[in-house]
Amino acid sequence: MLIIILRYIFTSKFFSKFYIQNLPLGKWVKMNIYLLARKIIQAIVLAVLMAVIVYVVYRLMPGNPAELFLFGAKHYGATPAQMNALLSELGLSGGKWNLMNFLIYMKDMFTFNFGYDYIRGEPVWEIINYAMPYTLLLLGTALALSFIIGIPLGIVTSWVRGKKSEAFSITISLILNSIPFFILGVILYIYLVSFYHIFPVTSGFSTYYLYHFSWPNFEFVLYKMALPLITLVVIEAAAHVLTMRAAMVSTLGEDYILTARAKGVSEAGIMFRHAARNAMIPVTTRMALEFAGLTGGAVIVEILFSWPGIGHILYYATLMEDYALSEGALFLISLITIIAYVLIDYIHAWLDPRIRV
Amino acid sequence: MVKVESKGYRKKRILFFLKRLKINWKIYYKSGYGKAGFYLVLFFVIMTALSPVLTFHDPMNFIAPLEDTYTAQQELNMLLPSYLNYNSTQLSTTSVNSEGSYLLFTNSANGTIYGIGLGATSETPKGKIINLAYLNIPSSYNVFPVSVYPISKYLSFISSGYSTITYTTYFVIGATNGANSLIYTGEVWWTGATWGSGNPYVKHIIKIEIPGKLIYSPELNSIQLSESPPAWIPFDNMSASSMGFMPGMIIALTEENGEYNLSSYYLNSNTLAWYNILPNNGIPTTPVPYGVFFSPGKVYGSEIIIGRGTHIMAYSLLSGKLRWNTNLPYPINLKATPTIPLDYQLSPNSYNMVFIALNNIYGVYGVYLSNGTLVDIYNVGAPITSMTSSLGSSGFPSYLLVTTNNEIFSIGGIGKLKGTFTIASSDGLLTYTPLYIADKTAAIFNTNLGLMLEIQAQLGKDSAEWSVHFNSNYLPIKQPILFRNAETGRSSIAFITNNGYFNMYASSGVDKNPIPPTLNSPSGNIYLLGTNSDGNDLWSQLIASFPTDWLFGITVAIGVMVIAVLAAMLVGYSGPIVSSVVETVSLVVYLIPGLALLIALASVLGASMLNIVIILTIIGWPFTTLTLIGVVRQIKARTFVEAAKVSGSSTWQILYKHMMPNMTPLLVYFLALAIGGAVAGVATLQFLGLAPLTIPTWGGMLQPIFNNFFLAAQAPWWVLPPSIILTAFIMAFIFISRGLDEVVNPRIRRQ
Repeated sequence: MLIIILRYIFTSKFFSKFYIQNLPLGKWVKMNIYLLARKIIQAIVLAVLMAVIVYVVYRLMPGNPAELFLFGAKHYGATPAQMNALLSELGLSGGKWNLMNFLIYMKDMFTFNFGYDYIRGEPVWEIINYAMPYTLLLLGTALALSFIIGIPLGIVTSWVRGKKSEAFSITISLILNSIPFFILGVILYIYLVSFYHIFPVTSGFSTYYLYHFSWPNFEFVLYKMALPLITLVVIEAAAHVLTMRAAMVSTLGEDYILTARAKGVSEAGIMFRHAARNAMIPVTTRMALEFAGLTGGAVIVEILFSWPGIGHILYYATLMEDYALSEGALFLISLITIIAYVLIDYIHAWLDPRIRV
Repeated sequence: MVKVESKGYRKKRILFFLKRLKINWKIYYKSGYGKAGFYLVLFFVIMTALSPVLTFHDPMNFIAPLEDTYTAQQELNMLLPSYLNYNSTQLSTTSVNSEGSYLLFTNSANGTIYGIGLGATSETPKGKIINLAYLNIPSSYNVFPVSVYPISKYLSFISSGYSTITYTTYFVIGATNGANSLIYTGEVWWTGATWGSGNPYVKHIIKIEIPGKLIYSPELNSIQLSESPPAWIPFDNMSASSMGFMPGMIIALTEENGEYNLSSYYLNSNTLAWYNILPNNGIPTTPVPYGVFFSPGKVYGSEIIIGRGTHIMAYSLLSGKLRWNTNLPYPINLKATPTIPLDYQLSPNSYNMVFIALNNIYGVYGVYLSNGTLVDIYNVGAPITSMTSSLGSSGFPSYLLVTTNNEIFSIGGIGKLKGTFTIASSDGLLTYTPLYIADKTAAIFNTNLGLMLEIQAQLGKDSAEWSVHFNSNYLPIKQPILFRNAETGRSSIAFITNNGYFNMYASSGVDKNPIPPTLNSPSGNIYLLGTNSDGNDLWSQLIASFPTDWLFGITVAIGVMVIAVLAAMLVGYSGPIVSSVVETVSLVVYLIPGLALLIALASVLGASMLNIVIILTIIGWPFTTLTLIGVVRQIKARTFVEAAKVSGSSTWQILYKHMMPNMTPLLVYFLALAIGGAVAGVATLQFLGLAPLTIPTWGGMLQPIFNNFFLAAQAPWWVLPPSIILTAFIMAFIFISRGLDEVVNPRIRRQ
C-alpha cells in the first residue's frame, strides 16, 4: 500500500514537476502516468458497475424495504405523516426502480452515506467503519502470508521437477485447494479448539488492541486471529503454489533460461533471478483474480469464527433483514476487492515491462 | 454462400473427431491426475447409481427410535445385608435442599433404622449402610416401613432481629400388634458443620402409644419428596397455630372395633390434637395432606383429604373439623390413592382439585378442594390401578397419568385425552404408582413382571424413552422412589428387589444422540455412520446426497457454460466495444466476493432450490466467461479464421465451425471446474442455513454444526464423512481439470 502511494507521488505530473525532474525517471514516469490513468478509470468504471449490481440485487427483494425500516426499533409506531417523511428521506418515495432514486442511491453510495441501520437506527457507516479494520487486517495478513508461503513453495516445487516430492507437493496443494473454506474451518476447530484447546473459541476482540501497539497486544491479536488466518492462508497458499509452479515450469522452458544456463549461471541464480521474476508476472494476474475468492473466503471465515469484520456484519444483517446495513457491507467489501484488484493489476503492469510499453 | 456438404465428408469429419477424441483421451489418461480424477468420478457415478439400494432409511424423515437413542443407566446394584430384612422394608427419602438428599432410609423388622449412603461425602460413600437408630420394637409388633419428611424449623431471635429456617429430616415409623399401635418419630442430625457432612445420627426419638390397629404407615403434614420443604412448620409448638404457623402433625389411621379413626398428634410430643371417626363403610384410602406449602396467612386452608366407601371428606388439619363431605356415585378406588398436583399445595386456587378414581365405572373424578364439588373427568373403561400427576402450576395439570392393568392414559383436561400407551400383556401389569419426573415431563412405570419404562408424559407413538427388563429373580420389586441424586445432581430411581438387591437408576437414562456408528442397536437398525443429534441416519443421508449433489453440480455447471459460451460468442461475433462491455460486466460480477453476493442474493430472493441454482449460476459464470473471452480473442487472431473470413464464411459459420471445435476441450475443462464449484457453493449456503434443507446434501448434513460447534467435537463420525466426500467430489473435478489441462495446453505436455 505504502509502495503504491509512494509510486503515485513519484509518478504524478504534479509532484514530478517540483522535485523529481532532476532524477533520471522522465521516460519511466510518462509511461506510468498513462497506465495509472487507465487503472483509475478502470477502477471507477468497475465501482460504478458494481454499485449498479448491488442496487439491482437489493431491489429484487419482494416487498417494501421501507416497511422493514419502519418496523425497526427506532421508528416503531410512526404516524402515516412520519412514514411518508421517512420514505422520502430513504429515497423510496418514487418506488423501487425510480431513476431519481437510483441517482440518489449512487450519490449516497460513493459518499459512503449508507443511511441508518433498520434495527437499532445507528448510522451504517459507523457500524461498518468499526468492522473495517478487522477485515482489512485479516485480508491483508492472509494475502501477505499466503504469498510469502505459497510463492517460495511453488518455486521449490518446480525445482524438484520430476521427483516424488514434486508430485507430493502438487497433490497436497490440489487437495487443500479443493477443501471448501467452511470445512477446513470446522475441522481445524474440532482439533485445535475442542480437542487440544490451542486456540480461542471465538475470535472477537476490542479495537483497543489494534490501535494501541505493544508486544502483548500484538501477541493477543495474533492468538485471536490465528484460526481464521490459518484457514484462509492454507487454502490460498495452496493455490499460489500451483500457480507459481505452473508459471515457473513454463518460464523454465523459455530460451533465455537455456541461454543463462549456457552462460554458466548457477541453478539458484537461474531459479530466483531469471525464472522466478518472470514467472511472477502471470502469478500476479492470477492473484488479482484470486483476491475476490480470498475475500469470499474471508466472509465465511469471519462468520465461522465470529471475527467482527464486514463479512460477519453482512451475514447477520442479511439474516435479520437489515438491508441498509447489508447493502452497505456488500458495497464496501466489493469496493475493497475492486480496489485491491486494480492495485494488484497495477503492480502486475509495473512488473511486466511489455504491458508498460 | 452455398452450403454443400457431402455425406462422405460428414462421415470423415465424425471419424476425425473420434480419432482426435481417442488421442486426447490417451493424453488425458496418461496424466496421473487425470486418471485419479477419472476413477474418483467413476466412484461417484457408481455410488449415485447404487444410492437407492444403499439408502437403508428415509434420509430426511427417519428418526432413530427412542429405544436406540435412550438407554437405562444403572447407577448402583448392590446386595443388601440380610439383617436388613428387606422383605418388610421400603425405601424412603426426602429432597431436603438443592444438593439433594444424602441418604436413603430403610428399616428392619424390629424397627432399626438404616441409612444408605449416596456418595455425597466421604463419610457416606455410595452404598454404605449406616445404622441410625435402634428402636427395640417388640417382636409381636408388625413394623411399617419407615418414611422420612423434610420439616423446617422456624427459629426467630427477636432480640437480635435475626430469624432463620433450618431443615431437618424427620422419620416416622409405625408398628401395630392388632390391638395397639406405636408411632416413633425422630430427627436425623449430622456431626459435620453443615447438613449432609460428617456422620448422620438420630436424636429426639419420641414414642406415641395409640389404641387400635394402624392401617397405613403414619404420615406427617409435609410432602415427602418436595424440593423445597414446607417453610412454616415449626419444630415443636403446640401453640403454633395461634402464632400463625402450621404445627408439625402426625396423621394416623387406626381401626378399633370395626371403626376407623383418623387421629392427629403434635410432632415432637405425644399429645393428641384431635380424632375423628370416619363415616360410611369399607376401608378408607390413605389420608392426603393438602396445603402443606400454604403461607402462614393461609394456614387454616390446610386439610386432610380421605376417602371411604362412597364418601370423600376433608378435615381441617388443625382442628379436625369436617370441612366438606361429598357423596360419590360409586365406592372410591383404593389402589389409586387420591392425587393432588404438587403445585396445588402452594396456594389455594379455585381450580385446585383432588383426583380420585371410582370403582365399578372406571372413571377418573376430580373434587374441588374449596367446596367438595365432584367433576367427572374421564372414563378409561377399565379398572384403574394407579394415578399420578404433573405439577399443575396453571390449572389442570398438563398430564394426569392414569394406568389400568396394561394401558396408560394421559389426561390433559376435563374429558380431554392426550394420549395412550399400551404395554404388551407379556410385560405384566401396571401395579406400581408411576413416578413423574418434572424436568423431563416424563414418567417411569413399572410392571409386576419386571419392566421399568420411561415414557414421555404426552404418551402416544414413539414416546417411550428407555426401558429395563428385570430378571425374574428380582421380582417383585418394591415400589420405586424418585429422588434427587446428590452425586449426579439429577433425579434417580431407587428400589429394593425381592432377592435383596438395592438398585439405582438414573431417571433420565442416557441420551445417546448422536449415536456413534453401530451395527447392532437395540432396535436392530444398522447405523453405519451413526446418527446426528436429531437421530437421522447419517449413512442414509450421505448416500442419498450423491444424486442430489450431482444434480446441483450439473445443473449449475450447464447454466454457467451456456452463459459463458454465449458471452464468449458475443465477444467473438461483435466488435471491440461490445466485447469490452461484456468483459467488464463479467469482471465486476467476478470481483464482487462470491460468498458475500451468495448470502445477499439467497436472503433477498428467498431460499428455494430453484433460486439456489439461479444464484450459483449468477456467481459462477464470470470466471469461465473471462477465460473463454481470452481464448476467443486468441482464436480470432489466428490465421485460419482470417482465411475463413476472406473465403466468405459468415460470422456464424466461423463461430460454429472454427471457434467451437477449438473451444470444446476447454469447455470440458471449465465444466469440470464449474461442477466442483457449484457443489462447494451449495454446501456453503446450506452450512450457513441459507438454503432449504429439505433434500439430503453433504452441506445440509453439516448444517447443525454451524449452530453448535461443540456437536462437531462430540461426534467426529458426523462431521468427517460428509466433509471428506464433499472434498473428494470437488477434488475429483479439479484432478479432471488438471488432466484436461494437458490436453488443452500442449506446452505442459511437452515439458
